[in-house]
Amino acid sequence: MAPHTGAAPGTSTRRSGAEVAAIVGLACTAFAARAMFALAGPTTAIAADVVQDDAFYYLGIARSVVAGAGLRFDGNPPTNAFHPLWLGLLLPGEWLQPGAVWTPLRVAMWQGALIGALTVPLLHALTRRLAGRGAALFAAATFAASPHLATLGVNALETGLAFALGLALTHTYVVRMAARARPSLADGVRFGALGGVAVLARIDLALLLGALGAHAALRSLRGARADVPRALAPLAVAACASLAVWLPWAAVSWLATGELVPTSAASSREIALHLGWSNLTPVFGPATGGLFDPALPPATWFADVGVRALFVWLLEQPLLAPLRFEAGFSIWPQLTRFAPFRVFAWLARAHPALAAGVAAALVLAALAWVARALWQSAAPGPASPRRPVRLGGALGLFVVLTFAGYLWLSPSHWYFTRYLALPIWLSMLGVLAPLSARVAAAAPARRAAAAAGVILVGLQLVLLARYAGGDFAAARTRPPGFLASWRALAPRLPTDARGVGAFQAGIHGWFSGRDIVDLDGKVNRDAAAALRAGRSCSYALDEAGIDYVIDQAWMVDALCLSRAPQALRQRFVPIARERRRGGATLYRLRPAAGPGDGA
Amino acid sequence: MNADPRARAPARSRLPVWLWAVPAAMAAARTLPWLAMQVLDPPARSAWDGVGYIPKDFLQYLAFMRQTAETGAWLLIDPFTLEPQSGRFLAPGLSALGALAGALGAPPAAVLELARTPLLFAFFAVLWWFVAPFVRADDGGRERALACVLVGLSGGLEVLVRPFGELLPEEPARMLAQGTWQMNGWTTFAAAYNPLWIAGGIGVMVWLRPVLGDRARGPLALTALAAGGFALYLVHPYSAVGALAIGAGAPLLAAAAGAPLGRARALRLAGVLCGAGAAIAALAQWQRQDPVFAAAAAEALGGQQLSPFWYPLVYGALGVLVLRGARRWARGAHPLRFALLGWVGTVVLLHTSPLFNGYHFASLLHLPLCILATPALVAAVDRIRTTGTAVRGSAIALLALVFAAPILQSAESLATLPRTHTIPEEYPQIARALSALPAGGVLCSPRLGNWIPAHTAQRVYVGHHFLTPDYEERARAVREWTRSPRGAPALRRLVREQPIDYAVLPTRAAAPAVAALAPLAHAQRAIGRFTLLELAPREP
Repeated sequence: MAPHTGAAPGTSTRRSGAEVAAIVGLACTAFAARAMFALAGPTTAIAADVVQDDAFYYLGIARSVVAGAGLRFDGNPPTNAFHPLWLGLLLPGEWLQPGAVWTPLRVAMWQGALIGALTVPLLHALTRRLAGRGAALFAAATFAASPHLATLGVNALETGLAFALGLALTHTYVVRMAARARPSLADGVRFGALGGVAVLARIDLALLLGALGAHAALRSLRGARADVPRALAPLAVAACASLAVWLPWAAVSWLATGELVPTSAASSREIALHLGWSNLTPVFGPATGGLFDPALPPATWFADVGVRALFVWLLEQPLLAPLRFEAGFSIWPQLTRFAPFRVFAWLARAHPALAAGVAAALVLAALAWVARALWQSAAPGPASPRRPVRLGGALGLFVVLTFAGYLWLSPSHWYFTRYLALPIWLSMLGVLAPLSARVAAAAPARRAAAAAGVILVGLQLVLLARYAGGDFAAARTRPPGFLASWRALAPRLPTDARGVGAFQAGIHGWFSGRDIVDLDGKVNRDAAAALRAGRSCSYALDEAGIDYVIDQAWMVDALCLSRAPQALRQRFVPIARERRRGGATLYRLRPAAGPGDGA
Repeated sequence: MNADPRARAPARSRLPVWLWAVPAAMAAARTLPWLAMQVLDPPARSAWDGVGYIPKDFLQYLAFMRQTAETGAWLLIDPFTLEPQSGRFLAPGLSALGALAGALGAPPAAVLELARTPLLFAFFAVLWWFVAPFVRADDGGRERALACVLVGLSGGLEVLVRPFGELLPEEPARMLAQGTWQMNGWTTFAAAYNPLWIAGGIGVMVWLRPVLGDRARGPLALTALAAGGFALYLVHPYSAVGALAIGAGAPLLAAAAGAPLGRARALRLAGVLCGAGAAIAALAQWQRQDPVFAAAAAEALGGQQLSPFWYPLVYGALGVLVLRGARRWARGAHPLRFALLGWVGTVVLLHTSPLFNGYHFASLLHLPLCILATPALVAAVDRIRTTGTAVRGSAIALLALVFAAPILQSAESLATLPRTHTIPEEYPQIARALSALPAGGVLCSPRLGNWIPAHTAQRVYVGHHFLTPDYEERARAVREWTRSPRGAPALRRLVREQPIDYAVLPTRAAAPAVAALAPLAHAQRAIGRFTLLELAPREP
């Protein structure tokens, strides 16, 4: 099938009153779906894992900034392990009630709800431009009802903001660059500047910017014939505008940390390699899972991470919602309840070579499709502002780049639901456009498509209702995760404790009201270096200035104890345990008794 | 031909999209206090009460909503007293919201707050229709849109003056605070704090337009109008009373001013008013057969009124526009000019009434004032566009003063939150504890008594200023009996005579009462600074 992703011919640019009312209604619905989670209260959101530990890294850094202590989380050297635009949005929440425990989190959640509502018109405008009015309403309605994006929208992280800016960037590209035979320099500035803002919202949007830029470059080159420099000028201006927007932050980051890009990505990679098959269903790897040497990660582990990425992408794909009905929605996707994954896992177990061949063939086919779509969509066309825009290739390239990037640079597979949100939706738009073009010609096909759309939106609503009334409602009575661990173990912490550390320090740090040293390196560059060097234990024991560690036992074990020599392991003395949520343990760190006891 | 361009037939123009920003802004601003409670941490050892405005009233609304949400009943009982009753309170608006909350599994407080937004949008849709006969029809809807903006966002400067009340002696300071209180609903924006008032405002417009324009003529239309008046009474009784009074008073005042009324119109009007009044009277008579309802209904009569003295503060620069606009109206020959003046006169009479708590009717004044002021607003806007810097500056300043009220009032609502909307941090725990117990009667402080029925199925001995019969007397008795050892016998007698199953008392402040009731309790537990006593069943 041709990768046609053009604007539906004949689609009027004017929106009717009914269409505007529908957009407003869907924006209100999106807001209500997110507000439902925000209204349940932050404790429930933490218990349900809608708000996770990472959010408290942001809040802690925002608090430090407002207090005038700079870009720090735990008093250690400054960190750049965050996306600056979202951090900036969190500052008012801290200013509003400095030192308040819940206010900044609540502000962040409500900001997320508002951003979710504002995303509806963006998504509608983009989809309308690519696939027509019906598809736009379908996409907006699906977004409004999607439990996946509703929960991500109020996770107090940059996810919702980055999603919205990813759509805005794509829309600007379509309107300003792709739809014009000869984009002006001003068009390039607008596209580039928004690209810079998007990268500030989440650095992986540089991949989207790159994919769109590649599409634009190819189009310019194919259409330029002789005057190549002039054809590429808007793109060059766009690149300059992106850099101009991004560079001030890059300079701050460089001056504060000596790094241009967030160091947390490298830390995430190390953490993922240290955790091995934990929380990852082995498909090609050993059935028992377990750890491996992070310096020599097995290829089968990367294969399993790739399989997980692929099936999370399929699971959360709204167009495939009927396939996931049995699996339902959950914050941590239950792939083993997802029929396509079960089939593939069975095949991989029974015939690993066949499964690997199928996977490789699929990957190659996808790459070939993307290359062909890119080439075709970059064909020179008539100079008309309403000429159809074919974007499937560019969006496909973005998906490919994202997959490759996450697999290699940040294989934190437990976060794939979050990381892949935008690729999932942009790829859906890439599919909707040719589908809409096909059904537009015949009335029965249009009616069938409309019915299918209604059913798919209905399925999202059912998933949302099932999750809100099921897992999420149950979280009201559940201990709130790390917060419960902290509440249970904090009283056991001696009042004269010199320093406390945690491998996941967000929640512990926030609710303790003191600096809890981050030991996994996400927001602590020294700890990150120690983790890379395989000496997390000795960092905790002898360099971090702490005498207690509090965390989930398996986490401490995976990132530190399992690879430490016996002498170091013995210096972690468990003094209290909390078993309700994952076995949190409070360790006292015994000082080195002699030279052989140290690192 | 009529000289007044506003007298021409209204054009069938659509409400411009940008105008929806006005109800959106109003909804956002009026929801701010509730949103702030969702976001901000309360002061130490306290919790937010979770309602946006006037806790004593909004908690009563929640109590009624919760009843429908939990029981499905639309004939409600008064949970703020323990007297036997047959359930004759009727609040279909609140019951509908309660049913919605029940169906969605949403907190009634959230549904009440969020209901404001769709109601405001509906209000503006109706307002656009309502103002059509009063505005120019030949300007593409410009004057009509400005009238709507004026209705939605104009107001006075009383918020800036109120802090100076501290310089006054106690009684004048109290009168200033009460007279200029934004919750009196002097303006549409101020009144929009209450979803019921918005619903009432919609009903008033729908009902008044055919009445003022004498558009309903056939028997069917007149019957529908009478039924509409009754329906409005069900939604918001004070709005209905106000609308009926305006419907009667405006033509009468117009006739007194020399405008022709006509015998046929007078008869039609009398028929409608009698029909609606008879239906209302019949319902009230049936409701009053229940002594608890009768006692509460008697509270509708009272001397709480609002003086026109406050107009310069609560309308501020809008008053200037009203006077200038009224001059233009007087010069013209609009057929509705007498009706409009009669409307204003009727509402002034209503809100200054010393007989039936006139303050309930102040919210009906802003709309006709804005209609009067609209031509002057149009002129002011024109001056900004066409004249020199000085005149333009003064026009901009005038408009800034006219439209400053929503910002000032929102800021005031937010600033007073910690003082007016905090409760002891134990109240939610008490509500949870009582929710787990069988429904019964609760003895507690009046303040806690206001809270409990909004969040549990329990009824209270004292809890609401007019739904609790003899509220002042009961509140005083509970206060005295629980704080002093000498009140112990009276307290024990009260517990024996009234269907009181639980007592929730502050452990330290009401230590004598806790000690007196402890022997009668079969279970006792501490909830923070409070003690919950489960009293032993009474002997038959």
